[in-house]
Amino acid sequence: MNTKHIAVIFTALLSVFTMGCESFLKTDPPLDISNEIALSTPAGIGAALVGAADGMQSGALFGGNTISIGELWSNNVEASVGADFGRLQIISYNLNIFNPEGRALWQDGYGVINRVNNVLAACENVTFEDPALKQRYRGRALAMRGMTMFQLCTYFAQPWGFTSDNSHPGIVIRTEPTLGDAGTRKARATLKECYEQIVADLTAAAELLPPTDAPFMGALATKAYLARVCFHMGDVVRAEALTTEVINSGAYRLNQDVTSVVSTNSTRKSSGRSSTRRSITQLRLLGTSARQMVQHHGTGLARISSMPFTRTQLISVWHCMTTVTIASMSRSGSASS
Amino acid sequence: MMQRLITLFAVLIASSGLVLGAATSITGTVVDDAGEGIRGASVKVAGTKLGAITKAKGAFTIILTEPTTVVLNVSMVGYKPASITIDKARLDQPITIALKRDQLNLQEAVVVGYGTKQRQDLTGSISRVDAKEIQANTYGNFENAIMGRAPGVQVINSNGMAGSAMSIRVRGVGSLTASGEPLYVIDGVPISTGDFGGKDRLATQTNALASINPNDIESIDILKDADAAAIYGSRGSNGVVIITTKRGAQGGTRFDVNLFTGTATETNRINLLDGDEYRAMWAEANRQDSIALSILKPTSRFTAKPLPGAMDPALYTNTDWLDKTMQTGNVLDASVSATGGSSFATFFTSLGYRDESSYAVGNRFQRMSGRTNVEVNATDNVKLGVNVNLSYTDNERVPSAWAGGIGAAQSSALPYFPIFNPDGTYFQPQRPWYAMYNPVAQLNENTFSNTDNRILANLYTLVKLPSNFSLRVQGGLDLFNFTDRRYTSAVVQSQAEAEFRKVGVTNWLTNATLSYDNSILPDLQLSALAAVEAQRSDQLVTGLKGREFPSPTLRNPTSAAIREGYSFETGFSFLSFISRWSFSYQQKYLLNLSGRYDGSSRFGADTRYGFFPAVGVAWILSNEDFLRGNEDISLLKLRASYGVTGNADGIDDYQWQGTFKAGADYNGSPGIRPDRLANPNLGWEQTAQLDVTAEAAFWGGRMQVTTSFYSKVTSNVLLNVAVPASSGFSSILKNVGSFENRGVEVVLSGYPITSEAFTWRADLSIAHNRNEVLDNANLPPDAIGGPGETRILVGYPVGTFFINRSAGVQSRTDTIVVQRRRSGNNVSFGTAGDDQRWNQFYDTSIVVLGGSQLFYNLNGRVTDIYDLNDRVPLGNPYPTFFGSLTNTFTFSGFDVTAMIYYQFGNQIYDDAAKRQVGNLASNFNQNRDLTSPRWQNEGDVTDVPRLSLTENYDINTDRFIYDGSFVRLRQLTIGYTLPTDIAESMGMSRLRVYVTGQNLLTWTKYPGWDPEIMRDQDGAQGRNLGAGVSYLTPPQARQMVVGVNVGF
Repeated sequence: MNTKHIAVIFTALLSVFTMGCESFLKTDPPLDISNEIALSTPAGIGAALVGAADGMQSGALFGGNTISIGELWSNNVEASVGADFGRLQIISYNLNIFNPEGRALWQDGYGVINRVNNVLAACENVTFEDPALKQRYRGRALAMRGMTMFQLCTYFAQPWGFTSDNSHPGIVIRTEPTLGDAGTRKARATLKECYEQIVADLTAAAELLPPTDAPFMGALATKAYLARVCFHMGDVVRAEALTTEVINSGAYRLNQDVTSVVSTNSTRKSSGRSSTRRSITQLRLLGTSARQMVQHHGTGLARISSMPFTRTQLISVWHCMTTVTIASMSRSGSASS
Repeated sequence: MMQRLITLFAVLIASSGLVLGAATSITGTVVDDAGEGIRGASVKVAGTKLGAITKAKGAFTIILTEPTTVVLNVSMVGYKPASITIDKARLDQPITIALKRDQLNLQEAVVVGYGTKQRQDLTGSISRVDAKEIQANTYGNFENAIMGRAPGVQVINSNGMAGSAMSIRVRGVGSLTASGEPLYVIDGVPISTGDFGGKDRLATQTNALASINPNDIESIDILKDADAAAIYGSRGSNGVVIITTKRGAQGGTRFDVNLFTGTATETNRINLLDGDEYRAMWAEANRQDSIALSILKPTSRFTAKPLPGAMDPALYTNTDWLDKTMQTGNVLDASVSATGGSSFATFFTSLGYRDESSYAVGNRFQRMSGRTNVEVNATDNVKLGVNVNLSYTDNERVPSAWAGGIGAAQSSALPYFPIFNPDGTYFQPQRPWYAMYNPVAQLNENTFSNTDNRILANLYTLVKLPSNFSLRVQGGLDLFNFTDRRYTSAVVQSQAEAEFRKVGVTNWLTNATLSYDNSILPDLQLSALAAVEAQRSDQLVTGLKGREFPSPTLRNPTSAAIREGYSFETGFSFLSFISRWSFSYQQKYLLNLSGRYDGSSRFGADTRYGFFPAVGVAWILSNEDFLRGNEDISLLKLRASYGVTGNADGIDDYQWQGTFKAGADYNGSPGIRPDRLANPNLGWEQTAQLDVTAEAAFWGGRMQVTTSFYSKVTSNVLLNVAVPASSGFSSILKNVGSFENRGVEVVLSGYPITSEAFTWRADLSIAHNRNEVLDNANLPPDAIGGPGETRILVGYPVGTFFINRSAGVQSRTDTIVVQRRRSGNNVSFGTAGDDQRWNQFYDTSIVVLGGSQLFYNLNGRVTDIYDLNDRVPLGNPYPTFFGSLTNTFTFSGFDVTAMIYYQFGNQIYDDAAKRQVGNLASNFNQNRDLTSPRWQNEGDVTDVPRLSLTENYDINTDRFIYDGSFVRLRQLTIGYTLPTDIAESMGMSRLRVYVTGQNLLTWTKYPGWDPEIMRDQDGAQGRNLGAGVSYLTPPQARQMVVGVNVGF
């Protein structure tokens, strides 16, 4: 055996070793799914849609704060001295970057939008055997995007009509999924552009969806929500038309009495205080998200409120909201609560 | 031929001298342990200028002017100096002087990674700790043996609890968010290290390396610079700690027993208030508040605040909670080993047992370990070897710091609380107190233990090939099985809770190394190697939690009414191609080229592979003709190296991939959501290091000086960079930051006195390091925070404190001018001072009460408002100078070693002091010494404000930054070795008895427990930043043991 032989043996060894080296170094995370695989099938897209709905029921969003922050700002409730600093900052209109509620509303809202955008992008790339399913997925996604964007606009932008042509800053319009660093930066659009996008999303969703689609928003719920958007935009004619369509559809029953959305007693025990929980108990109708909201309020709104909701105040705020949200989410929600 | 002629000539001269009888000469040889002649040794006649340097085969001749009894002092680099008396009558007889090898040596073999080298052939910086020094350490883990014995290597004990964690910084902190710890390699296998314990339960961490018996270690080599560490490529930038376990040697079987036992206590105990003092102070605080109110709001009525605990005053007592939670611990350590071998095989086998209870009541660490290393000469050209280590450790852990135990005993367990109620049940203070604040109940009723079973094994084949080639093929395995058992009693919290948690780590490695070692040209020696290596590590965590148990004796989570299981999995792999080429021309000029091409699963598709090269050169001047044979300068060597290494450890796996995650469920349906942004460019952190070193040895190695200068620039540092939240994400992990470490290391070793009767060896090491952040990706100060207000700010050391400055205490109630911020919001925007919105100031006159705390604002002007915008970077958590002075004396069978460790220039931010120094509203017990100079009466001049229960003193100011410098008698050992003949008559080859004390004395200005600290943090980032922060951190341990070491 001479040097040459040794070199040959070593080279052979090396090549054996190197074989499959790419696969040796390529490891898939056991607890995660890579982006490519996650959305490569209709089932995966469906799961991502569920994930988007989960984002919406976050306590920072529709599961709590989109409602409670409005209540705080409209003086329907007050924060007690013992409340956490985030809510104290909210009632004093003095939010800084550390404010957890404000930050989470923005972050979680865009979290939902990004989840939805992933679904919409994947729908274009994946072949569906059942074209109706693809339609439904796209409809659900667009409805969620429109609804979330609308909420963010109401909290983070001046309202419709603030400038005559609504050219004042709205929020960032995101219609593409963020996958890497490259796509993370985008400027705010004008409010007009935002509302155009919201209306386009909800209108398209209403066309794609069946009348009801529990536990997601169906076409009727989407229209009800669109009615609310139109109301905000001052388009009362269209709002009225859409609402009438929902009422006349027969799919939903109006409450006999506006006060019936408010329960006057509370049976739920939480934190040893249960005196001011009238509104919330009723909201359990919302199902999962309502339970979360109750929990959320258990540590937040309900605890801090030193003043019970008055019925009229509550109703005025909830009137539109409850109709729509109950419509959109009630069926399975009431079953499960 | 020439040599023979000279010898003949010398003999002729010598014999002629004999014949003439006038001049006398001494002839002889200097040999080593194995009887081989040593060339270049210095032989001097004491008290004269006569002397000689030994020639080939160690021969020397000294011509004396007159025949007389002489003392010869013999010294040689790498050997212990010797003194020999030659009687006048025996001058004519040739003598043989045997020198013993010594660690002051340049001849020793050093483990360099994938091979060994003679120290004098090195071009890089490597520190070595040998078996004797490792054995001198009585702490349970080998890292402690490195402290003070490797210059530039800072060893930090997190605390003195048994089985607790260590941190090592080689030439300064090496990362910000990833691991700053070195790579540990045992017998060629990088092993699993760190804390596998349940996170953040007890405010202490476990140490996976504690499963290794230090007595099994032959040497620890620490690769410090790029030339040495580049062979470990993407994992080398924090330095590499190479552990080589003991091997057998040919010859008769030797048995060795080492046994020691002793006590473990805390190094220091802080002085806290007793119950009466606490209540008196509470009354004083109420009094001060009432005075303050009467001045500021004369119309308001004052209501005194009640003592915490809402308890019956009849129960008030004086409980020394520290006394109840601390004890004198016991240490027992026994190791038995056998080593031997024949021409066919050699072996080393050992058993070890350690049982250590610390100063904390309930804390106990036990280890049982066994190791067998066997090497067989299967054929003339093939060696087979197997090293196997089995170990079991059981660590009974107790809470500390914020988690309770001795932490609660010095804080929230107030001294007037009794331990028990009159009815014998545990006393539990009423709200807002929680039951855990009876630390005695907590220690008695809760249990938390970790056990680990570990198998470290490697098999290798060494084939000697023709043409000076050899091939080594190795497979290594590290199987680590870790179990947490936790039980929290219903006595301590509202419902009983139990958790079992198992961590299994399977870590394997294979490699093949082809080496070549020979002269390729006359005078040009080449030693080269090429290797391929694959490593993979998989970790699986499973656990079960249970709450609400039907009986306190049922403690398995399965018995609980409410159960919850969980699991976690992760893994990584490395694939590497390694090469090193070392040239030596005439033993004068050395060139070392090394490099590693590493692939790691941790990194993105575009950066999966990286190349880490280094080049080192050395010039051994003392081998040049003009210095060869010089009697004063025995060694003079200059070397320099430059190279690039990486840091791939401490980074979570799979981070480069964009992924979706489960758990986003809605209405009973399982859903997924985006979890992480993809970063295909994610890669290792990178350190470029320059090292310039001069080594010199004088008078045959009697004194040695090594001075190294280094500069390390670490770039591509991983930071979580914020992205606009409208992207749906909050941050992305990117390689963006950079920082540098620059330093000097000086080691001075020598034998001031050597004689047959008395030897004194002294080793002094001084290391200076300066750390500075160069780029933090423009992140705002609060984006990357460590424990206790530590931050990463450009121009300051990693982990500098970002803190408000105290402007002292107002001496008298008076109207003074203060500066206030026009629109302050107590928030931080951008880098402090960047955003002018928060920095418009105005002066105003206000009444300030005597005893009020004042602050400096950003302008350096006095203000009465505590505002986070006024924070400034202060202090350095890492020492600017540290090192040790070790003196070793041997005389008539006795050996005395005293090691003094010191560090200067670092500060400690005591995060708990803000609650323990004059802040009764924190409901913590108070530090008596620090609280006593508080403001009490008008006119008092002090920096401790008046006591108050209404003022907010729970704030971070530089009042609590203390000088962390200390000097410590780290180790004192006194041993006595029985003369060999007596030992042999007793059937032993060696008997040594010794006493060792560790951490016996400490000199420091730090007023807390102990200046050697590392705040509990389980993240790498916390460890990198938290080296100078204390929060009720337990003190170090002082151990005093007696031991016996028997060989037969």
